[in-house]
Amino acid sequence: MKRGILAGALCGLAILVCSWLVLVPLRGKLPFFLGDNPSVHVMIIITVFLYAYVAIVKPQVATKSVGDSVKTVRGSIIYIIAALFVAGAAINLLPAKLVAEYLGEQAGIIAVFVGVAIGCILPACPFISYPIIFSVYTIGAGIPGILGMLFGSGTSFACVIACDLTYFNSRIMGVRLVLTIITAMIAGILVYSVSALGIL
Amino acid sequence: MSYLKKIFGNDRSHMAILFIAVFIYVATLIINPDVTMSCINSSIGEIQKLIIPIFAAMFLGGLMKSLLTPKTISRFFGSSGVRNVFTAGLFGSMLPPCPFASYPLISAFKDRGMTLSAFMTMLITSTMVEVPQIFAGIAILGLGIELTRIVFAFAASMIVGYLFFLYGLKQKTKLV
Repeated sequence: MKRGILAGALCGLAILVCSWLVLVPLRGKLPFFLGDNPSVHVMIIITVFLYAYVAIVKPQVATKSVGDSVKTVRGSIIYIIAALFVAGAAINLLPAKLVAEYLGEQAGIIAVFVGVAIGCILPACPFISYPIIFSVYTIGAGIPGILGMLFGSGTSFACVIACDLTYFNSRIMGVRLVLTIITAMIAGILVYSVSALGIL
Repeated sequence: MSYLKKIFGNDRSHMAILFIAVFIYVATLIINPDVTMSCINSSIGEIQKLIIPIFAAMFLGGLMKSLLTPKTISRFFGSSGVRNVFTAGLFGSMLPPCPFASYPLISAFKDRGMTLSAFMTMLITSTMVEVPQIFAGIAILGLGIELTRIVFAFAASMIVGYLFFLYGLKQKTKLV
């Protein structure tokens, strides 16, 4: 028990010190392969020290988590790389003018509906769909359009529909589809309203 | 063969992304090789920037999956029996984003007699809010966009859940 408290206190302190380092003195000076977003750097630090803590307190949980994570990495790495290649192609091939017209700030509320419609056909796995959404953001889509895509992502994807039918029935699938799309639209409209007020 | 199966998995829907990527690059290579090269350069830049954060997010997600078991979650949120839409929404938000992992749990709650509105709210939030995706969201999109996504998706789910609560009781026998 004492070892757990000590390890927890030390890991908590290490997370605070390292987070302060990447947010203040080391900000912008970290190698490119760690990404350029400070919140990502904090997340990497949290990951390292949480694993260190769990490895001390519950080694079997740490081993199981590493095993599960390796399985996830192995099962999806090829698709993540494919998604990043699709994202790279989207940056070069999608006309910025067209993206701005339908998903940019000037598109108004239409951007939300277009975003939800595009999001619906994207895969449910965030590691595959998010890089594609991010690439659309970098070429000129606005916040309501991007969030519309995020809200819609995976709602109508094949594996979710397959699970609807496997565990429930076609009626529940239909109601779930209609309700999630309505929810995505409402969430998008809320974001649009808030961003129109200049808060986002 | 089994090694290839481990890499490619069984999910044919994910393979669509692979085919789309191959198709785009082959098509641009035929039409305009210069564009293909700039696409490859952009992609390599994206991979270099995102691959370590994505790995970190996956490992953090793996740890959370081990620590936050359904038992732990139900201890925090209370989830059995007839509960309100808000509790079901909170519980659904915490479930794993993959429907193959979350649907068996939701199905178990439904079988235990959960109300239709709570069941639907749980289904909606498990598809829309997906708090465990927060690590992927932070790694790729940043904290601001990810938090905005979660807050607004949850708010909208609660609105729809409550409206369904007002409407759905009469439909119970037809759906479940």
